[in-house]
Amino acid sequence: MAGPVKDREAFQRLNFLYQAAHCVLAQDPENQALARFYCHTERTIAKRLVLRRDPSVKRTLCRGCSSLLVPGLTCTQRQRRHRGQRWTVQTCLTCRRSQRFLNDPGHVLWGDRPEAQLGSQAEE
Amino acid sequence: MAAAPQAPGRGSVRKTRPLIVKTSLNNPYTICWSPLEREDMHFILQTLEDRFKSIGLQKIEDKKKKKKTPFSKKESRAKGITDVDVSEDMKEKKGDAGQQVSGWTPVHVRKQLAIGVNEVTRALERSELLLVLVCKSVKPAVITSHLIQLSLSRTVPACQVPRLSERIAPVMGLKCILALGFRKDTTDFVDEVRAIIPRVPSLSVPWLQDRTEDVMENLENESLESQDKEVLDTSSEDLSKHKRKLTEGQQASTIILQPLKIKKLVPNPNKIRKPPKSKKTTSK
Repeated sequence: MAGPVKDREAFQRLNFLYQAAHCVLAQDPENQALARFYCHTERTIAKRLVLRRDPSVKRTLCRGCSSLLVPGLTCTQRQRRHRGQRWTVQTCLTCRRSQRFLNDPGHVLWGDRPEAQLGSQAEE
Repeated sequence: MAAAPQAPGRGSVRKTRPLIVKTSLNNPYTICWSPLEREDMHFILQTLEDRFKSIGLQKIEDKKKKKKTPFSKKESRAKGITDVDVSEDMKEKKGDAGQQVSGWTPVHVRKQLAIGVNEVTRALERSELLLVLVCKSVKPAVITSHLIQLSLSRTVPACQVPRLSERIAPVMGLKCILALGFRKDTTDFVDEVRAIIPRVPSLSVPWLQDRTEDVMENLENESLESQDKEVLDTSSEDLSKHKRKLTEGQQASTIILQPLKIKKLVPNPNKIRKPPKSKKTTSK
């Protein structure tokens, strides 16, 4: 990939939309439609330009209705057992779609491992 | 960015690709617990332990669970009451130190606590808790403790070093405790809660906490401004009003926009991929 010239602006847009959705929900917990619109826009942008997002960002967005998931406000999170294993189940309250994460003590995401880092930066 | 690629002239040597670096949008918010000092931690653990021992809050499980052992091994924390009741019906008399009653010893004390992650979550969603204590030695830590911190808009949680689970679980007779909460109607633990709350460091989330503080400041500024309005003249009042609104607007909206964080990743060399279909053979 070339240097993030074109993509940087798109990343900034994504970043701004993501934070704006958080602020909207912080200010007005009832107005989830706006947060959902922002996140939907963000998803469309990332889809069109094929931008990669960190799993920590993707886990806070619902895949069905693309609303921002805030545990306690927009989604519920429970520990469940299924087939002898423990999963964390996150359920979006608007579209009732659930995501499952396995509670494996030995599992580390590839993005979090030090060998994958090429010096992640914080840019303006 | 790209490592030195092979010379493209030689068509046969095409196996080594240039090193691709993927950039991904990283989360601008780093949600983490606030660190707890050692003295506070020791104090909290000590008070809790003494209190539980003095009350005698114990969970007694029946040790003989022949048919239930494959499930009971993999059960999560504070369960077993229903299983215990069932097994109690099935096998009536045992010699477990003469204690036939299984379950929790003082039941009314048990109702004042919320033990276990799911129960604490539910109580937080209904805003029933005064204090929440969380064990820190969770292996996939982000997954388990993530939600408790995001429900911080309601109560005052804390973060503990692993010893919460190691110390208090055997006192209660459980295998491990990851989350503990005191309900609002607790009578036995009021002193402990009052002693622990000032020791607990406050949590902060960049997008939520600033907003509540700014709302308070905004209200105060607005009340001051309304008083000053009547004093000033009309023309200067308009100017000052606009000026004040601008400054207030700036103050209120100092929700600091986090800078863009980009993560650069090297793709996993051990990634399991499907073998690519060669489309050259099948032609339409």
